[in-house]
Amino acid sequence: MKKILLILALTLSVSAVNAWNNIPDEAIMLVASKNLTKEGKELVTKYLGDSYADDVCYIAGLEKTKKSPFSKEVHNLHFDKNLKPAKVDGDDALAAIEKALEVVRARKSHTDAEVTKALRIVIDLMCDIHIISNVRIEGVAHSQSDFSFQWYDGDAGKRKTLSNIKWSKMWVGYPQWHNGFSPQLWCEDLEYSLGSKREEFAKGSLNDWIAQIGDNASKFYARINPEYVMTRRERNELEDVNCEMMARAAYRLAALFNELAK
Amino acid sequence: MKKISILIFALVAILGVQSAKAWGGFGHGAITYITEQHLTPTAKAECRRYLNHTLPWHASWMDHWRAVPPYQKLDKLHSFTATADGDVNWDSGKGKAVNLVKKTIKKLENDKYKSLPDSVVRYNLLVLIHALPDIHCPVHVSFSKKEFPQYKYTIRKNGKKLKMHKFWDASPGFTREGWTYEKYAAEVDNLKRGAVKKIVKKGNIDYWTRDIVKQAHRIYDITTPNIDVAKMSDKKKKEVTDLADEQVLKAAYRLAYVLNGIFK
Repeated sequence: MKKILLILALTLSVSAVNAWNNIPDEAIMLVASKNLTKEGKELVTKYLGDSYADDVCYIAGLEKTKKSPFSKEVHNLHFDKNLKPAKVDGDDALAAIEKALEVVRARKSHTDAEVTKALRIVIDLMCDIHIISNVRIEGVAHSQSDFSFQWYDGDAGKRKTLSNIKWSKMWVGYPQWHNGFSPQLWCEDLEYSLGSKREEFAKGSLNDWIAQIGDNASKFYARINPEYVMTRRERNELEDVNCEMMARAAYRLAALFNELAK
Repeated sequence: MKKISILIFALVAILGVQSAKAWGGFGHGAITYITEQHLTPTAKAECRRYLNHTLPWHASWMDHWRAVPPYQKLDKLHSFTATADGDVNWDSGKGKAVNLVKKTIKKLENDKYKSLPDSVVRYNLLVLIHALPDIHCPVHVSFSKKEFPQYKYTIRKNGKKLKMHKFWDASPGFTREGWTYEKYAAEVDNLKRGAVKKIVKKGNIDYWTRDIVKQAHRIYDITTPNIDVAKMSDKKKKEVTDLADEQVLKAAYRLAYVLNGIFK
């Protein structure tokens, strides 16, 4: 009896989901590839080739085979109380991105395989840091791990039902609302709907982007917590925020590759 | 042990609940993806300009917003009731989704969209790209219990009861786990021009609905009472996907015809 209950509890206690799946990540990389300079394109092609299906979700792939050198915290972005990056060496996305960027910058003294691996880490974590639920802020208790809250499937009337949802699942689950989208169709859609903002999204440096991500996430954490009850309208509208974060990841990734290729 | 069984049953029931959404996300996306392939460059550009996305992105908008004010009136407009002679029950108010499609087209056609605010055109497009495909879903044709008492039954999946509605809503994706819209379109969107013309029939919505009602009867021959969909023969599975694909294509070609007519 205890065993059955334990199995049931383990089955239902889904851990935090910290990544969009392969399709959105590949779409982000496809959008990035369409916004590369000639030099940026050469860099990417040399180390990754022309197809990115095997390059995205690199760390997640290592985790599946228990070969990841990182802890699960590597997908998360940590901030102190003043929303300044609070890097935990080796256990933070920004720290891992910067380390990988060092390898790409000093690529002449590294093997091609090492540079390819570093680029794959950059792609994976640049996607992950744009997921709002991957932001951890010191002093904001509910940001330290995943949490559940309630939402209404409808704002009033007969269809007013209250359901539980996990914070991380809500954010990473949005792309599944479009479950027949290929990476190419995602890319086409993102470029059409948000391409006009590519310069605004990619403006500044990695530090500026991190600051924007922290600032943006802190506003959501200020409002949404385990006691929060979300309306269907709000959940629908937050999909646009998620979509914008995907576009930001894509155009910033392109800017990063273009800068590395100079 | 009994308590645990009840607990497991309750959890499965809670986790397995899904509201009925015609064609499901995959079917609606596939229809609008195929529609886009048949739009004129002008119609495609205008649709994207108003929607700020591709058509498949917004294909399920009406399902996501049907429970949110002020759109709740749309909740009951996803299906329609057919009479025994195959016509639509227009006057009794049971034309529902078909009436919605007709009214929406009327608001936009003959260049009327040009004098409407962009937000109004956008709303009407969001309704049209969902409602017109919705009426092509066989289980969105209601038959009265009085006239068709034999149609009220359930089927099974691995021995458990399954609603016909839930099964046929998801029928375009049946046996196609993980398919993209591109892959689906490459497989099914291959009719010759003459066949497409025959389906479109110059935008005659009364003809379309009679044809839809006729096709809707077919599902009761294919999925008979208590048939187990998890144990279907390949031949039976093909009957399901053939009918689903036929309706998906009809919806896509007809929607393209309507949109091309609006945005000339």
